[in-house]
Amino acid sequence: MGRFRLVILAVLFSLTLSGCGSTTEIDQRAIVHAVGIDKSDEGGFEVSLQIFSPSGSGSDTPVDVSKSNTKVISAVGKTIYDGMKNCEKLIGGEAFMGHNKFVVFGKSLYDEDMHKLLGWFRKENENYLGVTVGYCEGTAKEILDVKLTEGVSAVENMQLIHEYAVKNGSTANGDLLILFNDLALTTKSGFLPVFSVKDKEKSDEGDNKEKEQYLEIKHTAVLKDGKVAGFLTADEVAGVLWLSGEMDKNNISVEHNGKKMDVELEKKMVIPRVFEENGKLIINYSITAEVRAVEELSSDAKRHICELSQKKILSDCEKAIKKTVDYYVTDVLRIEQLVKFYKPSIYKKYSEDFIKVINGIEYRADVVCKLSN
Amino acid sequence: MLSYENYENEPIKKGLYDKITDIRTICSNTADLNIMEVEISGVKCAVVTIEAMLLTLSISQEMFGYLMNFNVRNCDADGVFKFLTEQSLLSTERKTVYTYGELLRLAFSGFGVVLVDGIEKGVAFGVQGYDKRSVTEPTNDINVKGSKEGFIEVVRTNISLVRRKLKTAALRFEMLQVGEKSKTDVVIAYIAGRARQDYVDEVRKKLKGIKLDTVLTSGYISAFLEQDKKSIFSSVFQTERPDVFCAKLNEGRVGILIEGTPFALLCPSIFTENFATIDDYVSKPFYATYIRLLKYLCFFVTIAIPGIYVALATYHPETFSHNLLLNLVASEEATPYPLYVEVFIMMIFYEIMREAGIRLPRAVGGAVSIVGGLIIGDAAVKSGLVSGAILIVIGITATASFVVPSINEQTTILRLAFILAGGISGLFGIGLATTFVIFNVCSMDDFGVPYTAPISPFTKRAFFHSMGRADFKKLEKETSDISRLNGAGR
Amino acid sequence: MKKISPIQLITLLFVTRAFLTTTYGVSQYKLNVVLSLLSAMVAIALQLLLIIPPLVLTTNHPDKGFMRVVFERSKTAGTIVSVVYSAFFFFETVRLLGIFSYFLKNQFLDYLPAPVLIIALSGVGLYGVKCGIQGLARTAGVAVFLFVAMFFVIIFSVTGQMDIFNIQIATPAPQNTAKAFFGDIMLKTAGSDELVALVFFLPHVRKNKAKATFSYMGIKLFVTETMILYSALILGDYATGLSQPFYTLSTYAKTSVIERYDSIYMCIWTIGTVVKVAVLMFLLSKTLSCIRVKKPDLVACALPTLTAIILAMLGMYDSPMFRVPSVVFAIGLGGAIPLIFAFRSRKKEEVSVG
Repeated sequence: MGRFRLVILAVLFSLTLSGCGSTTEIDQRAIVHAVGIDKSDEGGFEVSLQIFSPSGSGSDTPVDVSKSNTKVISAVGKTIYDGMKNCEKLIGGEAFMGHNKFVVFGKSLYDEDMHKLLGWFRKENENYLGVTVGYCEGTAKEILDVKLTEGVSAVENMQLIHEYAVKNGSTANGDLLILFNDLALTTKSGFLPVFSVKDKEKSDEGDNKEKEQYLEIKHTAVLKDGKVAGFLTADEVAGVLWLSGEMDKNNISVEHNGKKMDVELEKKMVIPRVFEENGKLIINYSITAEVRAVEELSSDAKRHICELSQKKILSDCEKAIKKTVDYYVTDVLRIEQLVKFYKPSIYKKYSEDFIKVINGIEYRADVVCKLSN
Repeated sequence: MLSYENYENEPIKKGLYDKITDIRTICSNTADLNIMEVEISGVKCAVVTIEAMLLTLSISQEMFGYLMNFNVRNCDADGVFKFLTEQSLLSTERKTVYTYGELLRLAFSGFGVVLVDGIEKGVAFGVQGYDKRSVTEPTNDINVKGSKEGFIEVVRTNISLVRRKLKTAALRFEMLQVGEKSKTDVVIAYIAGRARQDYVDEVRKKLKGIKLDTVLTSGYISAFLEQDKKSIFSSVFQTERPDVFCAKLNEGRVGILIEGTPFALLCPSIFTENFATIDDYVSKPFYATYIRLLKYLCFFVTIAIPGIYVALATYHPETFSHNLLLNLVASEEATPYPLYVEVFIMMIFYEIMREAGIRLPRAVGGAVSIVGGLIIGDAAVKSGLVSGAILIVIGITATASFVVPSINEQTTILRLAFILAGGISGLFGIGLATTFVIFNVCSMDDFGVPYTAPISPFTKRAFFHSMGRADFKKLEKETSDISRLNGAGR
Repeated sequence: MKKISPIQLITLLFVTRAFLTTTYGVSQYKLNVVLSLLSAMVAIALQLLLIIPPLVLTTNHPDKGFMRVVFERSKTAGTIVSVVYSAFFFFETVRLLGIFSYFLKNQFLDYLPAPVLIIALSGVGLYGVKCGIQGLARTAGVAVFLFVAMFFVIIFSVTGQMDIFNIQIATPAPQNTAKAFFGDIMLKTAGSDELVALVFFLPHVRKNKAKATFSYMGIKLFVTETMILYSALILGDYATGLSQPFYTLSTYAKTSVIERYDSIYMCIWTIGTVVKVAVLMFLLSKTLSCIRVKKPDLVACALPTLTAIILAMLGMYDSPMFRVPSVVFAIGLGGAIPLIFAFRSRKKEEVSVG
C-alpha cells in the first residue's frame, strides 16, 4: 500500500511538474504600458505597443530612471487581435496586458465604431477595466513614441498629465468601464480625452537647440453612435463635468473691479432631478460648489466673486448642453440613465427612440457657490 | 541465573554475601559500582553506591560517620534495620527497596543503598551529588523582562523551581520511570482542581505505555503524547522556563518534567500559545497586543511570503504595483533560473547556513554568518545568480522565523512546500496548500481540546485574549482554563 | 455523535454556499437590479420555509443522524433515500469540480490540464473528508475569516466608484417579467445545496440549532444583497451577462499596495471550493456507507473525480451535468424528504404505549 501511494504521488508530481515548463517567467513577459491603434493603409489596423525595456546599468540598479525605459513595437493586422499577435511575434514573447494604462486611438479611427474597436479589450482577461481610453490628434504611434522621462517609465508621466487634467476639470476620465456603460446607452455616446504631441525647442547655453517633446490634452472628444461626433472646448468640458457630477476642482479667472482674479471652484454636491411640469420633462441640476479665492478679499468682493463664479458655472453648463444635446445630439450627460431612474414609465414608453426625448427635455441648473473659510 | 535481563522483579536475598554476589553478577562487575562492606553495631552490612554520583563529603560526614557511631549492645539485624528506617535521619529522602530492580535504579540515580545481612530489604538514602549545570538563563526561550531562570537537566531541581513559584498544596508531582533501560525519571505535574483528572489519567497511561529502551530527550516522550502522528504541528508544548510552565499549569494543563533534559512538556496545547511569551505580561496591554499581532504577521510572512512572491511574480504579476513590477522584471533579466528555482536555492542555502551556525563552535560561528550572509549573498546577486529582490524576501522570511521560534521546524518545511506550490501553480497552489495545512491543523484535538481553539471553534473572550493581552484587572476576575474553551471536552 | 457549535454551523454553511454566492450579480434572467434584489429576498424567504422540516426532525429525534432516523422508520425507505441523496451529492461534486476547473483554466491556469486541476482539488478534498465533521467545521471557521476580509476589502476599495443611477428600474424587461422573476427565485433556490447539507449537519449542532440556522439565513441575505447591489452600482450595465460579477469587481478593485485583487480572490475562492468539495464528498461518503459501499470515502472521492475528468477532457462544459440542478432537488431533498420523517412514527408510539 505504501509503494502504491508513492507511485500515485510520483505520477501526480510529474503531472503537475509537466505544467511548469510552459509557464512564462516574469522577465520573459513584455510589460505593455500603453496600446496605440491606428488604421493601416492596407485597411486593417496598426497596433503599437509601448513596452518596458529596462536601461539599467547592472544588477545593482536595474532601472535607470534618468533614461527612457520603454520601446515601441508596431505591427499591422487585419483585426486588432491580429495586430497584437503580430506585435508579439516581433517582441518574441507574450505581451502582458495586466499593467496596461492607456489605450489610444489615432485620428484615422474617428469614424470607426468604438464599441467594435473595444471588442478585443472586452474579452481580454488580463486587461484592467480602469484603463484610460482616449483619442489623439495625429497617430497613436506618435503618442507612444513621445520621449517622456519622468519616473520609471514614460507612461507614468502620461498618467500624471491625464490625472491632473481630470482633477482640474479640463478633460474626461476616459475610464474603460464607464465607456462600456456609456456605449451601452441607446445613443452610444461617450466622452474621451484627446492627446496631442507638441515639439518645443529646448534652449541650451550653446548653439545646440534640441527639440523636446511633450504631451498635452487640448481637446475632449464627444462620441455619438460610437464614433467621434466632434470636440468640446474647455468651457464645454467643464460644463459636462459639472452636470455629470464628475467635476473635482476647476480653476477659473474672473474680473473684479477691472482686475483679473484666479478662483478655484470645488464641487461639493450635484443632485440631478427629473420631473414633469406642464406636460414637459424637466431635468434640474442642483450644483453646490465651494469658492476659494487666491487673494485676501473684502466681504463685498467675496460676494461678487461668488456671484461671478455662479454665473461662470451656469454659463459652462449652458454651453455644454447646447453643444452636446442640441448640436451633436449625444447623451454625454447620461440623461437616459437619469430618466430610467426617475421616470421609468416614460423611459419604457419611449425607449425605442429615446433621442427624441433627450431633445424635448428642458434643462435647468441651480448653482450655489459658498466661499470657503 | 540472575543477569541484567531478568533482575527487575527479583527480590533481594537475605544473606549479605548473596546480595553482593547478585548485584555484582547483574552489573557484571561494572567499574563504577562501589560496594563497601562494613559492620554496624556488630552486624554485617554493605553500602552500594555508584562512582561520582554522590556528594562524597556529605556521605562520609553525615551518613558514614553517623552509622559508625551507632553501637548498641546485642543489636541484631532487625535492630540495625529499624535504626536505619525509623530511628535515624541520614538524609531528606529515604526509601525501602525490596527488589534488585528498585535497588539498582535508585543507586544509579545517586542514592546510597544500605544492605543488612539477614534482611530481605535495603534502605536507600538520597545523597545525590553528581555534577550538574547551575540554573541559568534558558538558551532558547529568551525574554527581556521575564525571569532569568531556566530548567536544568536534573528533574529534582526543576521540581524545586516549580514549587518555589507555586506554593500551593494543590500542586502535585507524580514520579514515574520511563524507558526499559534508561529508567528515566519523569515527573507529571498538575494543579489539583485545575487540571481535569482525565487529562492527568491519560498522560499517566501514555507514559506508562512507552516501551522504548531509552528516554533521553523530551522528543522521545512528546511523540507518545501526541494522538495524531500525521499532524504538522505538535499538540505538546515545550518550554525551558519555570514561569511559563507554572502559568500553563494554572490554566489547567498537565506538565511533564524529564530527567536529563531542560525542556519540560505541557499538554494539551493550542496553536495560539506559540505566540505568547512571558514578556507580554510585563509590558502594557497595548504594547503586548501589538507585539502579539506582529508575531501572527511574522508567522504568515515566514511561511507564505516566499511562496506568494513566487506565485505572484510568475503567474499573477498584475497584482504587483506598477513600479514594483518593473523593478522586479529588470532585476530578473540577468538571472538564469526560473524564479521558484532561485527562491528554492536561496532558501536551501539559508537553511545550510542556519544549521551550520547552530553546530559550529562559537568562535567560528560569527565568521560564518558574515561570510554566508553578506559576502555570498551579495556575491550571488552581483554574479547574476539571483536577483536582489529574492535576497530581501529570504532575509525578511528568515528574520521573521526567529520571532516565533517554538514552531521553527514546522515553518521551515511549510515554507518549502508553499514555494513549491506557488512555483507550480501560482495562487491556486498556494490556496490548495493553505487549505491542506488548515485541514491538518483543524483536525487536531488531542485530549479533546481543538488545537485551533479559540479561533475555531470560536470562544469570544479567549479569542481576544489570544490576539492581544487583557488587562490584569480583567485577568483578576477570570483565569483562563483550557478545558472551558468551546469544543474542549470529550 | 461528534458535535459542532452553532457558530461552526454558520461558518460551514457560509463557506459551502460561498462558491455560488460569489457568482451572484444582476439576474441571469435579465431582471433589473431592484427586481434582482427582490428575487433574492423572496428566494431566501422561501428557503426559510425549507429549513423548518430539518429543524423539526432534529428536535423530534435529538442526537440522531438523519439517515439513522430514516433507517429506523424503514430499511427500504432508508436505502432509497440513501441512493437519492448519494446521487445528489455525486452530481453536485461533479458540477463543482467541473465548473471550478473550467473557471481556472479560462482565467488563470490555461497551461495546466483540467484533469490535473480536478485531481488536485479532489486530493485535498479527500484529506478534508478524513478530518471528519469537526475538522471540516473548524476549517470553515478559519476560511470564513479570509472570505470576510476579502469581501470587505473589495467593497471598501470600490465604494468610491459607486454610481447610484446604475440602479435602473426600467431596464428593458424580459418578455414576461413575472415568469422571469419567478424563474430567478427558483434558480437561486435551486443552487442552495447547502440546505440539503444542513439536513445532515443539524443533528451535530450542540445547541441553539434554530437560532444558528436563522442567523445563517440573515447573513446569507446580507451578503447576497450586497453583492448584487455592488455589482450593479459599480459595474452598471457591464454587469449584465457576466457570469461572475463579483469576481469582475475584484479585477477592478485597486489599492495603493495591490493593483488588482482578482488572483487573491481566486486563491480564497479556491480555499472555499476545496472546503465545499470536502463537505460534499463527506456527505456522499456518509450516504454511501448507508448502502454498504466499501471504503465509502475513497469511492466518494474517486467516482466524482473520474466523472469530472472525463467530462472535462471531452470538453463537455455545457453538459447538463454542469448546470444548476432543478429546484425540485433542493426543495425535495432539503425540505420535503426531511418533512416526511420529521415526525415520530405513530405505530411505534402505539406499540411503546401498549
